[in-house]
Order: sequence, then C-alpha cells, then structure tokens
Amino acid sequence: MSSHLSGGRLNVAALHDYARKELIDMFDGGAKTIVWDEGLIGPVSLIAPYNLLKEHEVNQMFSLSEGSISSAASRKIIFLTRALPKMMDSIAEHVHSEEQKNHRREYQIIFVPRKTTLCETRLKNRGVYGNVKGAIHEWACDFFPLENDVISMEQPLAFKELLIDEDPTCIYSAAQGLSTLQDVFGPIGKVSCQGKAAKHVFDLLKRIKLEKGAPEKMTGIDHLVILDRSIDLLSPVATQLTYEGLIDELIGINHTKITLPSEKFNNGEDPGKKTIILNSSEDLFSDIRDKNFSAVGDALRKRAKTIAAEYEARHGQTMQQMRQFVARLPQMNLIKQSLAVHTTIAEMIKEITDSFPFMDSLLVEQEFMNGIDTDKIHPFIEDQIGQQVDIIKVLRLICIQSITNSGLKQKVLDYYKKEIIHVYGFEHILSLTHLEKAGLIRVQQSARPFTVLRKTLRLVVQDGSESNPTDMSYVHSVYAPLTTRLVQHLIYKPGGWRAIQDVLNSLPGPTVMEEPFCDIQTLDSSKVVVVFFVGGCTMAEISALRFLVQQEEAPVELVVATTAIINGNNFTRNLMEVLNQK
Amino acid sequence: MHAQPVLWARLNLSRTLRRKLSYLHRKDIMLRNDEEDDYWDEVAPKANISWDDLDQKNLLGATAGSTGKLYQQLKSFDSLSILDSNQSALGQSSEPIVPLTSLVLESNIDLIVRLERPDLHELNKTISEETLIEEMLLGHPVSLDSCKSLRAKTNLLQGAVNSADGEVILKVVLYLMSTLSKKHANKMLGQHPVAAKVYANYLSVSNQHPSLANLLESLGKMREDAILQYYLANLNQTAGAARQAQNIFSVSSSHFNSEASDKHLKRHVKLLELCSGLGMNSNTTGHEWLREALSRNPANISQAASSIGMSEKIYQWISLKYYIASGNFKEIQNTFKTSWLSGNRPKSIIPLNKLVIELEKSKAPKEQILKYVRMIEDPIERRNLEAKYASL
Repeated sequence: MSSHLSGGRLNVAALHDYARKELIDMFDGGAKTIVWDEGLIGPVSLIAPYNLLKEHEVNQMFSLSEGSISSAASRKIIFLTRALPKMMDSIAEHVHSEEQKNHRREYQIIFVPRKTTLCETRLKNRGVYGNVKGAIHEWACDFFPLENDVISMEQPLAFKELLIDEDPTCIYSAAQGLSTLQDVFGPIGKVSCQGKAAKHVFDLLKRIKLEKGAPEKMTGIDHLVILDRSIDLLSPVATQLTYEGLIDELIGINHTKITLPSEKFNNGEDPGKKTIILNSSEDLFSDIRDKNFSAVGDALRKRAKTIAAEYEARHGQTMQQMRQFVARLPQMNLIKQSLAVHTTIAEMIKEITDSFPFMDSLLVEQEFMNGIDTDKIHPFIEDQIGQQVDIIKVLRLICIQSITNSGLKQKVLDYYKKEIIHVYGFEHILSLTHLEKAGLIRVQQSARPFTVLRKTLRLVVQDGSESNPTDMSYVHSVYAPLTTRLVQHLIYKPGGWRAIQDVLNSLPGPTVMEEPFCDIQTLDSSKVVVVFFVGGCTMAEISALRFLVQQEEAPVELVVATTAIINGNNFTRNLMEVLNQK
Repeated sequence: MHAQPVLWARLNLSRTLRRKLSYLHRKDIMLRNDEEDDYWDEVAPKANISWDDLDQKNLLGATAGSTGKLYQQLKSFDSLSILDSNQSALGQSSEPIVPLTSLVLESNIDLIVRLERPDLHELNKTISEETLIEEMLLGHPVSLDSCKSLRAKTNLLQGAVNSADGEVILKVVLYLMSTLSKKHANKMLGQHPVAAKVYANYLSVSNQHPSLANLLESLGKMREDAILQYYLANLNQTAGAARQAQNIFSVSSSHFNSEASDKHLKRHVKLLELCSGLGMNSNTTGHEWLREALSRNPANISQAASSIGMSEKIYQWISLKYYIASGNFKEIQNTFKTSWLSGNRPKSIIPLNKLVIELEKSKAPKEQILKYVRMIEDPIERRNLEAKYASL
C-alpha cells in the first residue's frame, strides 16, 4: 500500500485497492499489449503502475494517437481510453491498419469511466464495431486517491461541461462517486451544500440511497459538504502563492508528477527531462507544500542546517554512535537528495516570482481584491494586451476585475473584447462568450454582492503574516478563498451556516444546512468531514483547509474530494473555444 | 459485468413465443403427462390462469421433472438453440427435429422458460418508464420499444432528465428522434432544455452541423444558432479572406441582430477585406495585419486601423513593437501624439518605462534607451533608470 495514502481515519488506500482490483480483473489471462489514451496514463498510473501491469502479462505499451501497433508481439490488444470520439477514430485506424497487414488480433476496449452512445456510433461508422463487440468494458473508477486527504475524479472538463455544454453527466458521476465512498467508508451522517450543482448532486445521492439502501457499517463520514464551483469563481483565477500552488501554476502538476529539464539537476535519468513525484511520502515536501512561498526559503535553509549538523556530528563518536549514524545514513542521503531537488525547484520559481511582470500583475490582482480601480478600463490590462502577453493571463485579470467589481460596465467590457479580438483574433469572441456564460465575466447589475461578501466573510485580510500565518488568507497573501471560509464557518463557528444565512442568500444557488442523511455513530476521537468540490478545486484551497484543521482545536479529520485539481491556467483554457480542436 | 447482448435474441424469441402463447392459451390445450393422470382427475382446469398463481413445481399438471425432459427435447429445435446450454442439467444430447407445435404446446414453452430461466421471463413483462431508466442507469440493455404512446415517451424523457445522466438522456432522445415526427420531437425537446442541450452537443461533436442549426432554429435558440453560424463561417479558413468575409457578412445580416454583436462582426468583415487587399490569409489577426501594413505602406494606416475599431493605445503598442523589432528607431517618436496641453511636446500613450523595457529586451542601442529614459516625468524613476542604463 502506498505510504502517502495511509494515515487517515478514512482509509483512502481502500479506494485505491478497490479500483486496482477492478482494473486487473478486466485483464484476461495471457500476454497482452495496452494501447493508451495519453490522457489516462497519469490517472491510471496512480492506481496501477507499470510494474504491476507487467506482473499481469502486459508486455508492451503504445500510444493510441501516435505511431503504429504493428510491432506488438502479443495477439491480444487492449485499448484503454476515455469516451472521446477522436480516440475512436484512432482505434479504427489501428484496427484497419492491422487488417491490411493481415495481423490477426483480438481486441478489447476498456472505457474509463464508461462508454457512450456517441463512441459506439463512431466505431460503427468507422466499420470496426464488429471487431470489438463483446469485448467492450467499463472501468468505472470514480475517485483516484492523490493523498490520504485528497481524492479526485480526474474530470478537468466537469465545470465546462456543466456551465457551457449544459451536460449534467458530471452531476450523475459525482453522485455515483459519493455513493461509492459511502459503500467503502460507511454511511454519511449529514450533508450541507451550497450552489445549484451541489444541490443536484445531493438530490441524486438521496435517490441512489433510496434504491441501494443505507450501508450497514455504523461509522463513516460524519459530515459531507458539497460546494458548487460557481459560488466562488475568484479562487480558481487568483494566483496561488503556496509552494505547491505555484508549482502547479508555473510548471503544472499532472497527477502528482512534474516534468522538468534534467540539466537543472545533477543526476538526470534521461538527457531531456526529469520526472519528480510530489506527494506526502516525501517528508520535506510534506512540510513545505502548504507554506506561502516566501516561507519556503527559510524552511529549506533550516533543513539544510539540520542535515549538515548531523553529518558533522559523526566526528568523535563512539563505535555505537557510529553504528547508529551509519544506520541513519540512507535516510539522511534521501533527505539530502530531496533538499537538492526542492532547492532547485524553489530557485526556478523564485526567478519568475521576482520578475517585474509577475510582481506587477500580482499587485494589480491584489488591488482588485481590495476593491481598488475595479470599475474602469485598467491601463495595466490594456498594456498587457498591447504587449501581446499570453491571452490566458489577460483573461484571468479581466475575470478577477469582473468578479471583484461584481461585474463590469458595458463599455468597459466592450472595450476589452474589442482589444482582445484585435490582438489575439476574432475567434476569441467565442471564448469571451463562454466566459460570460460561466459567470466569470459579466455586465454589472445594481447589486454589488462581492463587496458585502468581502466584509462579512473577511475575504481580504491585510497585514497577515506569510511566514507564520494566523489566517488562511496567506494562501493568496491577502485573500482567503470564499469556499474555505464557508467550511470554516460551518465546521468551527458557533451556529454554523445559520449564523451567516444572509451571506449565503447572496451566493448563487440554494443552500442545504446540515440535513441528516444516514444514522451514524460518531466517535469521540475525531469527526470525519469530506468537502466535495463540484467543478474542481485548487491546491491553495486544499492548503487553506489543511491550515484550518491544524489551527482549530476541535479534532476534525478533513478529506477533500473534487472533480479535478485545477489552476487558473487550465481552468480558463478549458473554457475557451479553440477552432482547430473540432 | 453487465448482461450480454445475446440476451436480446433470447428476449425476442420469448416474445415470439408469447404471441403464440396468448393465441393458443385461449384454446385451452394442456399437456398431459402419463404420470400425472390422477392430477387431472382431481383438479378442474382453470379458465383464467394467472402466472402468479402458478406453482413452479406443479404447473398445470406438469411437474418439474417432466418439464425438464421436455426442455431437453425443446433444446433440439433450431429456434431454441440460443437458450443457454448450461441450463441442461440432464445433459442429454439433442434429438432429431420435429415441428415445435406438434411436440409441445406453446403455452408450455413459456412455462418451461419460466422454470428454467426466470430472468428471461421477467424481461417479458411490461416495464414502466421509471424501471427502464433505472435499467439504463445500471448499464443493462433494454428496449425502449415498449414506450409507444406519446405519454409514455414524455414520461421516459422526463425520467431521463431527472436522472441527470447525459448518456441516458441521449439514448432516450435518439429513440424519440427516430420514432416521433420532427414536430413532436422538437416540441418535446423545447419543453426539456437539458435534453435539447445534450442532443445539440451530440450533433456538434459528431459534426452534424446542418441538423444542429435546424434544431437550434426550431427551438427558437436564435443566439446559439447565430454563434454556430459564426463559428462555421470561421471554421472554413481555407476559403480565403475575401470568401470568409462574405460568409461572415451573410451570417451577420441574417443572424445577429444586436448592435454590439453587429459591430464586432462588421469589424471582422472589414479586417478580412483589408487582409484580402494585402493577400493575407483569412485567420490573420488585427495586429498581424497592422505589422504587414506598416512594412508595406505606413501612410494612412492609422485610419484603416481606426476603421476596424483598433484603439489608439493598441495601435501604438503594435507600431512601437514593430519599429523596435525592425530597428527603425526613427519612427518610434512619430507614433507619439503632440498635444497643446503638453506644450506641443510629443507625448506617448504607452508608459515610457514600459517602452524602455521593450527597447532593452530588443537590445536597442544605449542612446536610444537613454533618450526615452530622459523623457520620464517622475524624477526619481528617471534618475534610477539613467544610472542603470548609463552603466551598460
């Protein structure tokens, strides 16, 4: 069992083992070749790494959209793919190619998490459905465990599908996933939700419970909090300032892994790139991941001093002490390597965070959060457009201005649209339409809810310490994510959400407050709370929730569940319309 | 694992048998078993038989054992060959064929099926729309054919929408589109926007754009239809700038009726005309056109830029970056405006400190950088930058 999944009262590793068994059971006996949808390699490797697949007679692996599978030695070919029409086209091309070469193969398709009518139709239209009919399976892995307190459905497009495509399937998947959590971990005691999508998930979950019945276990999840991403659109687009959040923003973390040029490190296993796994099995990363980046340097220096002191202490030791030192040596070497890696990463990040473009942009962002200059055409944004910086950065700033001003004046919005279209292209009319539909950009109405929320929930905290924080606002230096403030009020403040009923009324969508769900026996040791984000959550929000648990006295074990881990770049990019993708 | 597709064939066969059964059942023909003669003497035959009343071990005088033997004989018939051979507990090999109706009553075929395969029998029953949706959610193959009436179809669609599963919604919608007239189908979709959207996405992803446009129009979704047409006009970028301008112009006049949208499209059309004039392709952005125009004929460019709605600031930025990149430093100051408010001195809309950064990035000569540093109004900033660049 992976060490980073263990340790919590909710045994997240059980999900991992359950999903792994389901996948392996789908592999029949005999040598086989897997042809991968690249988008699945990351999530599936969390459950079934290559060594495990090799043990189950997977001889070779190929990519679905590149190259040929003719050199596959085994007769049995398994296509592991998401239900995307373009993947079906790739499968069809492979099958036809093998037929033309007179290679006799047995095909199997495993859809993750499920097949769709569109995909089956596409296979039929491409004339290969008969080759795979009877060998189509579904691996309905609802949640991929990332940490002992984080599980993700790995559906990065859930928000887009819900708001732009108006496809409610992710609601159904979320409810099914939560029902699986209940089956594995035990009954859910009570549920609170905020937002339309969250309420839908809850309603479906109730229906599923009616059909399946309540689990037999007596202990489980004391409180499930379901939050719709739409209630807080600022947190995904604001710049994250925790160490892990910045790594995700600037480098991109894919299923707990990052890839960097190996020349930055001394020992690259591959001349081109080095893959680094980031999870809590590494003690140093576990210590610094949730810190504000400005505190990371000190933390690394302290650790370096400690290691140096331990090495120095070997001089003048007795034989027994030397023996103990030698026994500790492998561990110390590991820490030393880890220190080297994270020092290098921190230096790379610092190079960017110390630059004028980054600092200037962050300053404007924080001005917007403080309500400064939010209601006019901002010259910095104009200059950014004129300098043709990455459109994602420009759109994020405009979204932040719109959200913190509770909408933009029509002429301001029209001006930005016009400028973006001129510099980046007319196809971005469609991108801007999507952002409007998602609520990230909108025309100002008479009410200014954000101003009220900022005050009543203390979303902006000035003069908070970044190195020794006393408030969760350190994750964005001045801004406490609205979602995490809601959780703080619900779990830790007297009166829960009832005390902030007026505030909740100004948020979009309905509210459900601590509605009893199943009978459950609460243990005295600690309560288990699962916070589920419908539409994704950021690393900064996860850090804020962990901070909350550490700060407060009442013992609560918190697990974050989400449709996907998002950051400002991929969140905005997924909402854009790219013509050549069709 | 879900039920296998071969169940379908079994289901169909049972239905065929069932039709015959209901006919023959009216004739009240019973199978006699020599061992059960006494039973017939004691029990009066029932006129109306309820399936629920039947005892599995003693169905209308037929015992489990005798029906088991009969089952074996029935298995020998081709039409029954798809019944599960694993059910053959007696393990006897098949006998030569005789016509089915001369061997056994159809009524008892169904009884046998019920004895041997109760799951198949369950499938024969009329299933409610709610159950159909549940079966689909569980991934079981079902036939929606039982929903024949408009009311049943309406209930089915409502149930699918309530399930929130896009896949189930799509299957139901595809069934409705194939079994209802266009008028009724579109009316139903109009009453269920979620289902309409799921279907629209399906048509979009499967590149059935004409059907999608028709759907949007019939649903009165003018704005979405307009956006779709604009998208399609942009998609065809191999058509050339002039042709694309025509496409977009026709989309604009036929689909977009708001002033704001109309303005954007008119500008797009104007840009495409300008691009066409320079022989540029249709996916040229405004800034790419301006750079090309500056390289060919700088005169009157600002008017053309204004005609496509380009703001003064963006015009200056693009011009400045072009001149800096091409080393044409003399032209930089020509982009500045003179104003009597500033004493007729040239004034840049672009912040001068940002202009200086651009010059530095492009490794412009030191004297050029210092020239603009000295124009910065803030004395402290000016002094710091002078010190920085003078030492280069």
